[in-house]
Amino acid sequence: MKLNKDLVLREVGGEYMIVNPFSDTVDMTQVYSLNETAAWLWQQMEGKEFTVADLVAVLCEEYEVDTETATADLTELCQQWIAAGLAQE
Amino acid sequence: MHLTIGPITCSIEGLTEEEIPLNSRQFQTEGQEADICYTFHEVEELPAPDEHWARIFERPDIQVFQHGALEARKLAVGNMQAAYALYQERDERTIDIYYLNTIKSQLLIDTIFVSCLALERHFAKKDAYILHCCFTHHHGQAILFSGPSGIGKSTHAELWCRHIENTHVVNGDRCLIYKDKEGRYWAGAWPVCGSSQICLTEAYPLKAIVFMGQAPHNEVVPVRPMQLFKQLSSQVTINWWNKTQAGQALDSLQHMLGKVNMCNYACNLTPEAPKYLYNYLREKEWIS
Repeated sequence: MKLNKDLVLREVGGEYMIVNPFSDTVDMTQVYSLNETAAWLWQQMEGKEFTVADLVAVLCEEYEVDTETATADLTELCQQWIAAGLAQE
Repeated sequence: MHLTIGPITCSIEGLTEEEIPLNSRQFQTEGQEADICYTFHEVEELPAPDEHWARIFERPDIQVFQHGALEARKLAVGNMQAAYALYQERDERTIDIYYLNTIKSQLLIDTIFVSCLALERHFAKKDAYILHCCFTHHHGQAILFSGPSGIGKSTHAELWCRHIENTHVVNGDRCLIYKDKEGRYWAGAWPVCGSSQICLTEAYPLKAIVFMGQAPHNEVVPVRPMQLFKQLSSQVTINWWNKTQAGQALDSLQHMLGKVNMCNYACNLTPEAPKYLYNYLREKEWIS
């Protein structure tokens, strides 16, 4: 999968948001928020083709988390990103 | 004829003073060099941008075309069948505006006239932004009540005028926010004022932006910076189709968030509502 290249990750006061400047109706009150880990993963995958396994690999390298938990969490995260139009399969 | 709005002076050719709207006319100045030169052309039929222009964005009220760094816009009321003007940049500071002869009288409406100028695009280059708010003056200071339409911005400002001395509304619907050479933020006049009919050409140091909400009891609601940033950027005019400008705008607003005092205020319509907020702003030393 690949992240939607039009999207911009932005950090404000320790929180993260994804803005799509090309959306016809940008509603800033409804923009997608990311937690710190998801934002970090986003930065790792910007401009790249990747799989859930790639995300699991970088996450397990950076954080103390077991592969099984990471795979379950990141599968769900990828589904959320695709459903919200942030990434394409 | 020259109009000076905040940090920008523009020259207007092709229209006489009587052919521009009353509020916009208040911004007339003499002797200043123009940053932007607009020439209005009355036409029977709007020209179409030639093949060099690529259409990059479309909405029922606007089509945007791009040619390198230059922009053209076809403006309409409601849908493109009712397009009334074409804004087309010759270079960064020279702009032609073609308008249908049938709508000439409507150019006397500030919203129509100002839309033709695409000013927010030029203000963005000067780090200046238009905020949807009720721009209120208190004792030489600007307090901006912002939020979505119908939330009670004007009503709350009226309560301030009635119950807090030395207060008046400068613009009931919009305000231009810009920085001076020392980097201080100012709230300045804007020629469009919605249904409020209040449109004064005054500018004051910007002391606070208050995002309004409705509640049975008056309370300044604690919110995180991200929430304030979302509220601020949703009430500022941003040309989202221009990715570079949109990014710069969000950077600028994020900078503003760190420099200008902002809060969320949920309140009712009693005389206590302005007094509660006034005391809060004084206690915080946001206003004097």
